[in-house]
Amino acid sequence: MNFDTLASATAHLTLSPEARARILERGRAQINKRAAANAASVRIGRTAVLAVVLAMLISVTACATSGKLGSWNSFSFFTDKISRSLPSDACIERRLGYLPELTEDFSNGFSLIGGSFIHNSFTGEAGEILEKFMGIQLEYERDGERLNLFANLYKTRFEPRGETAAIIGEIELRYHSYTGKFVPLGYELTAQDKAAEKSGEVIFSYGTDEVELHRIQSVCWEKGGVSYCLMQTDSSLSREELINMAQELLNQY
Amino acid sequence: MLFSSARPSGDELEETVNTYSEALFRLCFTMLGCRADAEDAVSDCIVRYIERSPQFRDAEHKKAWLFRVASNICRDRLRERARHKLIALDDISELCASSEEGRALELLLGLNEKYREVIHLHYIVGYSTAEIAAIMHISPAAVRKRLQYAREQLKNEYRKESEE
Repeated sequence: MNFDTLASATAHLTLSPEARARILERGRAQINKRAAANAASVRIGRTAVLAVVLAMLISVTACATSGKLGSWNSFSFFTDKISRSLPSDACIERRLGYLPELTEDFSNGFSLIGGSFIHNSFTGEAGEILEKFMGIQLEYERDGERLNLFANLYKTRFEPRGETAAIIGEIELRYHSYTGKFVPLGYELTAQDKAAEKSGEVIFSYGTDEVELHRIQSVCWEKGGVSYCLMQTDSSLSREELINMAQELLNQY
Repeated sequence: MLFSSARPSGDELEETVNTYSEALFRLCFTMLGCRADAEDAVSDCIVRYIERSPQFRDAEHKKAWLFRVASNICRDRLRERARHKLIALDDISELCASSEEGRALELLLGLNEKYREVIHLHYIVGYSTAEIAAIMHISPAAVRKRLQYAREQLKNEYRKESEE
């Protein structure tokens, strides 16, 4: 059989202009639908934004087990909420399947004000589920200033972002900071925006009424297979203070 | 919550449809053997591109991603057909310029879907076995084996038809 004949036969298979128009129309409808969903997700509140920020702390380029990461999906139920005190170890272990190292207070005045157990999944580029896992998010406050601690246990391996800030025993603390730019739907990126996005310095999210810039900094580490991140948005904390808080938590165990 | 915040604009959508829809349609037709289903599959593939908004390294990466997603969508549709025993293939002779082309296309459509896909990607799109392996998430050796088996099948069918 001649494969040139086959190629020539398939070359005659073309989409009709009407079919192409239908595909474009459906695509545009999907863009509008997604824009509305993005707006909703930003307006849901801090949790969604924090989850976006957390996802940015791992690199998309190195998913060793099963291809590149497409998305990090997170949700929690009302019953997953945590109040101003940590649940018992038994309860945490039952909910998560492991027991992360957590604290209710830091010596610099940050105290637990709430949190939740989080149901997470990683999906691949084509939307296939790579892994499902449970995590915990805790929120701390000091004089109106807030800070989050995340603990997650997943098998998928990533290159962490950021620079080595300290090494405690065999544990490496990595510090990372970047600017999150939240913009209205339909916002057109300027050349400067595009360059900043490409370099990873600025991450864009769509759906706010006005352009908002947030400075995000984090210290992340891994211990016993669990990934931890202390993260603060628009912080008055210095890099050193954040690193010291991570060290304090590590030294408690 | 999306990992990537890069959302395709209307212009990017149009460019993607203009650049890739014909090639995707040919692949989907080869796998599904039906114009209407192939058009729907391309449409689903474009919707998935908008939903996922993946970040591509370059045009080749984007093309390979679209092919992979289109193949997955076609496989899902074939499974659906098998469940519901729905087969509505087009009359190939109406779609081809000559009887020889029609026969070639019919022989291809007579193969199992996994062989059709590798033949299409290799001989029509022009991908290497390594590239097909990456798209289909199988080993290059498995691609070579499928190509070999598909060629033998086509050869046998072609010979049988010629003898008749």
